Amino acid sequence: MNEQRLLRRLRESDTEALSEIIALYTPYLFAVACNIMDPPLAREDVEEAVSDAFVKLWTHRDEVAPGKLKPWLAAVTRNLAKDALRAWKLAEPLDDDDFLEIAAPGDMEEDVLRAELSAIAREAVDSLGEPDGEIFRRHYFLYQKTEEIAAVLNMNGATVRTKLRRGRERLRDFFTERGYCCENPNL
Amino acid sequence: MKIRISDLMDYNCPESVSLGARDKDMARRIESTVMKKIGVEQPKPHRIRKKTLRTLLLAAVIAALLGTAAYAVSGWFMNMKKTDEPVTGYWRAVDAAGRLTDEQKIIFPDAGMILSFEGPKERMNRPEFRCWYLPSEASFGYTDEEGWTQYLSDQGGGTGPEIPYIVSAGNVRAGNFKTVINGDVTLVKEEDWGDWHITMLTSDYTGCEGRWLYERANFVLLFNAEKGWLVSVTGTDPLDTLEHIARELEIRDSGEPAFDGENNMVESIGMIDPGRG
Repeated sequence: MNEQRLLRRLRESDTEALSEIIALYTPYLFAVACNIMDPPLAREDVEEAVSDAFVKLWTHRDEVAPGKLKPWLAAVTRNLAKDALRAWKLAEPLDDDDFLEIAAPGDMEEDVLRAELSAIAREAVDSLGEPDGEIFRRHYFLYQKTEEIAAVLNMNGATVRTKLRRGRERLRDFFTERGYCCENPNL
Repeated sequence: MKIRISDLMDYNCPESVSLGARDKDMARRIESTVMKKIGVEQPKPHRIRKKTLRTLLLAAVIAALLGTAAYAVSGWFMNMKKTDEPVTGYWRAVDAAGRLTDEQKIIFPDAGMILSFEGPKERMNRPEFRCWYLPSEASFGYTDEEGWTQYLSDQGGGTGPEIPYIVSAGNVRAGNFKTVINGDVTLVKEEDWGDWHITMLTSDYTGCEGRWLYERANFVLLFNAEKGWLVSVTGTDPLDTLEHIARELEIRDSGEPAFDGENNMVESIGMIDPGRG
């Protein structure tokens, strides 16, 4: 399926294009949301988050760039899943999802700052090379557990944990080198 | 500011990773929820009310039941999907032990729509029809003394681009059996005629890669979801003419089992654009 054509039809308010996108991406988005929500939330809540992601796609259909549909949907689904967890005051699913204390210039708008931090994080993860970058993304974007990643990539769990630790160190170094004082004793 | 590592990764999707197994039921549930939320009425599925008709006369006024039979089948579905990409399919045959004995890859570069079917593996007897209206004399196809047949056509003399009409009746196969309509296909209308779901399509072949005899062909597809029968009235005649043929078809169970010679096929793909032969 040509994504560019699908998006063009979507921009023309073609609901059949939306149906095709739903058929295509539901399994992926359901898996993304499940990793975050299930457990502790029910399957129905997971489906609700996935549905809401497609509704957001419909309302923002003019904003999705060709070639970016899958990451856009994944990011939206992930945020909706995390919002659902937070609404129920439930714990985040990763044990090692540490908080970083980042000292940023005081005059920067928060959304601008977040975009900047995300860009630096992407650069840091890209610099890890493969499979380390994929391991880091699977864990911190898709919320896959270390043992799950180890099984998929045919590694042992200790190797995955070591690579994740190195990834966190690389992240800290990137922020520090770019003028953001980054502190976390666990890194 | 405090920020989680996972929040920093908001736009770091691993794009090459595939996750999740196909789940049509879940996709349908989600589609239904989404369409409700955005205020769109969902198109009706291509499923027909079940009745136990043995014969249906499609002419609206002279519709008649010639008998009844209570078939305990769960029914078939017809899926129609528009495409603007070439479609690749296979013919695959296996022997009695399930070993692959024949495989052919087939590409339809001009595919505009794919028809596929879901339903029981077992098929009903073959359908047959007779025509109470034809715009011109049929040049191909054999009928019995009473006019019953499974194929009838006027192929236009074989010289010009016209293939006025082809009427063909058969059983659909569920699973890996697909049918393609080529060209730029447009859905003209859908209706229900009793137990039959009617789909009228037109296709423009002018933008096709391949060489087609004609610039446009029309299609009236009659699908019986209870029996898994598909009767197609296709041709270069206007859609109104083909609809007239379809409305005046009498269709019944032939009493012959379906597709005896194809039991070793496990996958196939074909097309229903009008053609000579």
